[in-house]
Amino acid sequence: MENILTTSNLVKKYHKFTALDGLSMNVPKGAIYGFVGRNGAGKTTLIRLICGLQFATAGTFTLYGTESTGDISKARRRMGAVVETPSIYLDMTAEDNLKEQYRVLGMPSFKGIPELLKLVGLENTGHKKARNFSLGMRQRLGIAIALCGDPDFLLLDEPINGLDPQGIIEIRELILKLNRERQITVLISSHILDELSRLATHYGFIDKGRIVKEISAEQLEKECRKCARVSVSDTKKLATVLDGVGLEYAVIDERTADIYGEISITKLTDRLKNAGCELFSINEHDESLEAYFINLVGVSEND
Amino acid sequence: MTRLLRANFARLWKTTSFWVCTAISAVLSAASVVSGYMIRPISVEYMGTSMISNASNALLFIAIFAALYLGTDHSNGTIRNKLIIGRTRIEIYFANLITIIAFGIMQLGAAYAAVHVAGAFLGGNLGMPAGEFAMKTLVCVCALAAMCALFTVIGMLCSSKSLIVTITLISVFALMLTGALITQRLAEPELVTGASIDENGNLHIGGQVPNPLYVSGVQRDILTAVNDVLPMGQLIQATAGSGSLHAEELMPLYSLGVLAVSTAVGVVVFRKKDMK
Repeated sequence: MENILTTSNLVKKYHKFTALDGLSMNVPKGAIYGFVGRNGAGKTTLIRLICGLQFATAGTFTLYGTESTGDISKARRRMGAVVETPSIYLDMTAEDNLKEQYRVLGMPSFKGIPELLKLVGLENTGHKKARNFSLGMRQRLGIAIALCGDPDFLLLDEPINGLDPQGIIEIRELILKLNRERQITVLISSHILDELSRLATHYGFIDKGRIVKEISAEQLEKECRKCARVSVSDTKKLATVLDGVGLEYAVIDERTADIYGEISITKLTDRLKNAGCELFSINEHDESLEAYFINLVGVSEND
Repeated sequence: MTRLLRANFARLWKTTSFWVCTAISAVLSAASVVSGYMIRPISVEYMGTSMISNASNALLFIAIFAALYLGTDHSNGTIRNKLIIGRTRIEIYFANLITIIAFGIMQLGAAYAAVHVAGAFLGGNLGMPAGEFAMKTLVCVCALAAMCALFTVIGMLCSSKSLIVTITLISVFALMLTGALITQRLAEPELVTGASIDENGNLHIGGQVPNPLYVSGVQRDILTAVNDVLPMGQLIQATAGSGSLHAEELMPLYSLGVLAVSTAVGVVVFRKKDMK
């Protein structure tokens, strides 16, 4: 599969602190690439390097086949980005903000602006200044500005941070729409894993400035173990029964446990009844992206 | 860079601080003519002096505007929008520098226009030879451009709007103070009237004695050179009164030198700067 972005052993140091420590990753064309990592793992630093806001201490990256050591400016004209907070003029309207970016890009006319405003749902903001926008509206305006040059690669750094549930849904739908209808490749960094799992087609897990694993959503689904979450009257008795039949399990609390592997509900019910343990409920349960991530990078000392 | 300039100027017209600074500058300039006329009606005959004297006042507005204009690009993060889509740092720097210099010239133009309108209404005239007026205007424009280059260095290299405003204003006041002190020292007469007290306690005034505050020799040459080279010193000299300036032919060149050196330093550091 063709890659839009490839990084090779990228290193970024701030004095003695190493933010990126030989990071190598590949973003396939057409993907929604979920860039997952803890705070301080190096997600934003990587995005800053790709956007040209900062310079790598060592290593290179390739954008649309152009090496970062070459004429990367031309390649950057095909991308858009929202880094951390949306970059907008607060004393301007949504339309004026887009006009300003059109001028920076050297676009011949403003005729695409109404369509862009409609795409991000800001077509009715009129003369309202951006400073009076909600956080979600500002975020959408930031994305609209990033889309001004009709890019086919979009970098979004924590786009749903601080948004209310409605705002999160709007941004999610917008990203999906851009990916499906405009075939825009999206790199989206987040530590809100549940939300990311609804969007991403590929994942890159970063920890301490290095990519720990790159995996497609399909492959991840296969690797996430299935389990049955049971609610019982006594997990100690449940543990005895499961040890007897050789099933792997994890006790969540005094009344809840996860059982891994294929189980016969009828046999389990009988054995629990014989052991004097009541079974209240049983649900099929997938290992979450969060659990997968924790298994991959471990629990930090702070957690 | 023309694209960035188009964007910068379009933003300029929409910036409130641009209109506020221009309006206040024009009103104060016109008011200085009217108030001068009310105190001493003959003062309106010296419109040229009034116009040039507004260059120093305009400098303060230019400093405030430059700090707000460049600081907003950092505080709103909009400078990132230019970098992300592939505009080079040199383009961004020079587009901002040209915009700030253009604003400075517009401020001086607004002040000149306001003095001209108010002065013409009161029947005034230029009050100095056209050549002297043109030369002093050229000195002021070049000195303002050099100051704009200094403000651009601060505005491009600091990432915090409040820090940019603070450093810019402190720099302006420090340069004003330095220029005023140097001018004051250089203006000290070589000899002053002596005074002595005799044995009976009577005060005797008369005779010329050396002024202890008079700066002479190499020290005077250095202070004079510094005053001629520094844009603030040039502005103070140009706005001080009538008559030709010391080294007036060289002053625009000195200003252009300051502009070139400060811009070179600014560009080199900005090219390496890590943006957030």
